Amino acid sequence: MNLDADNVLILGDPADPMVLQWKNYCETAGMSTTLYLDPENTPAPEDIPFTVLLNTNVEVPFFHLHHLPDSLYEALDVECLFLSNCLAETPTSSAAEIDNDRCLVGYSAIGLYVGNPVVEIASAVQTDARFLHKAHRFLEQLGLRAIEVPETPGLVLGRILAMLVNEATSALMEDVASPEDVDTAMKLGTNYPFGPLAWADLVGLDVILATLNHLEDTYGDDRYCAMPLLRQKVDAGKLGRKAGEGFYSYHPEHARRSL
Amino acid sequence: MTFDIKTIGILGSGTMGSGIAQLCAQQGYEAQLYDIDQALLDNAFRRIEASLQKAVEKGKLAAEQVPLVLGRLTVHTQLSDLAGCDVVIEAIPEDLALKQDIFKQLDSLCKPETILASNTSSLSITALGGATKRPQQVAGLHFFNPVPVMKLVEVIRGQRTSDETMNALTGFAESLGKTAVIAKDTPGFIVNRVARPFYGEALKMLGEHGSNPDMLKTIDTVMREAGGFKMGPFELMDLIGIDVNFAVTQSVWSAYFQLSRYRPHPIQQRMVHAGLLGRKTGEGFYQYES
Repeated sequence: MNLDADNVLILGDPADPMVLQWKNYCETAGMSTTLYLDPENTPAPEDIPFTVLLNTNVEVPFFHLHHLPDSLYEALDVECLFLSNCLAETPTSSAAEIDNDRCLVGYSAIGLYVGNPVVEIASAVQTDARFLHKAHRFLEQLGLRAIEVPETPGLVLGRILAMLVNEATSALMEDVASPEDVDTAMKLGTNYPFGPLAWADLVGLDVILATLNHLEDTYGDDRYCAMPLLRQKVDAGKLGRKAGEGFYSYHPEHARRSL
Repeated sequence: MTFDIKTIGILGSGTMGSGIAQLCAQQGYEAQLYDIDQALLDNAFRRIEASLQKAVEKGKLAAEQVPLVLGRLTVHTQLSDLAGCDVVIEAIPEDLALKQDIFKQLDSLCKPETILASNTSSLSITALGGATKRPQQVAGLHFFNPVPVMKLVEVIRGQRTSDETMNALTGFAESLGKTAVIAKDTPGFIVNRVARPFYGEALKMLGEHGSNPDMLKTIDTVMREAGGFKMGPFELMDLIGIDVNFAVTQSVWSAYFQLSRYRPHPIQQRMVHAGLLGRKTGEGFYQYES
């Protein structure tokens, strides 16, 4: 098996800054990349076999792997690594959606949103050890540090961060303090690198909500129930920085805070 | 501010109380430190002296300042000595009945203008105010450990705390060189509430991966390297004290009438039962050289 990745198929929305960041990482490492958005409007790539399929989608059902057209599977190398974002779906359930289930490794790249070049990776039950190895190698080629974690909903950072954000949101709903004071308190009182609300704006409130929903589905415990205010913001499209507004506003006329 | 704050009473000469007393004296206030036992006070005074000496060695304090700072610090075993203080900050053990009793005594001893503040990290400010006849002058003033280093003070508004009291205490906290945030009196205020999942989810993941000997280190590593936290949850629990962290968790959980988000984890209790409390006992989630 050739471990070196050279041709990467990225599934995701090109408007998502994280997709562009992955594209950048790959191209800087000398790999060719193809962005694949939508089977109906984007012709399936042909000719060159892809060695890595990177599924960056957190939870757009349309993008779930079993919706991909056959022509796309035909464009994959037989030993293609499936590296799939597993904030909202476990690696094992993602792998169950594809025929070559042994090729899938889950990942969470929450660190990349704040410039920490570290990615968590997790094997599915079905994963063949060679593909875990290939995932390590791929991320290493991109200059990213891979930390292997056991499969757990939202993986480690995504799970804890989503719950910190949810708790901060519940404090806002109870009017415990202003968003600014909540964030200031967590940075100065317990040395957090970012306030949880500003952090949620960087990662995307939709990503946080998807992670919480995944946790709630898994455990059936209201401990993980997303706060109504968080759902409301996502419903209203206030997803954070990428939307110009989340817990804070980033529109130029009231650009008011730096992290 | 309705009146000038000059004299600060501090109740309790433990780590927090003596830290607050030192900070007040260093910032030019008259600090009157109270405890029930002279030996405890002598001990606290020596700790403050040593801490000031250290600050001189580090070049953070001029040597000639030391006697001046110590000159602004007095120690007392009579609560009535603090009757003339402008602000009294209570930093005694986290026991509501004990605190309510001392607030009641302060209320009858102190001059009418005195603001009564509590450094409690998770007990109800409203419940302390309710023990007095001046609930509008009772508020929380929550410092963080170590007091001289941590920049934050949470100023807690009880159900009946007045705007004047909040403004006076916010100004006072800022005069100590701290950043003040305002929080409503709710269990855990801001920091001890919002931080709960940092520990709770880490413990739950650890429990669910009981057969994985690397899980604890993996969680800490991810939180440090991917999250950018200075310490992982288990490293931080060891530093805080697993018993202290467990007590705060229980306090917030019971104040919210057993809301499942705040539920403590049996692992915490087991560590406490085993006497493995973290750095202070040489072993917690990790081992430390004594």
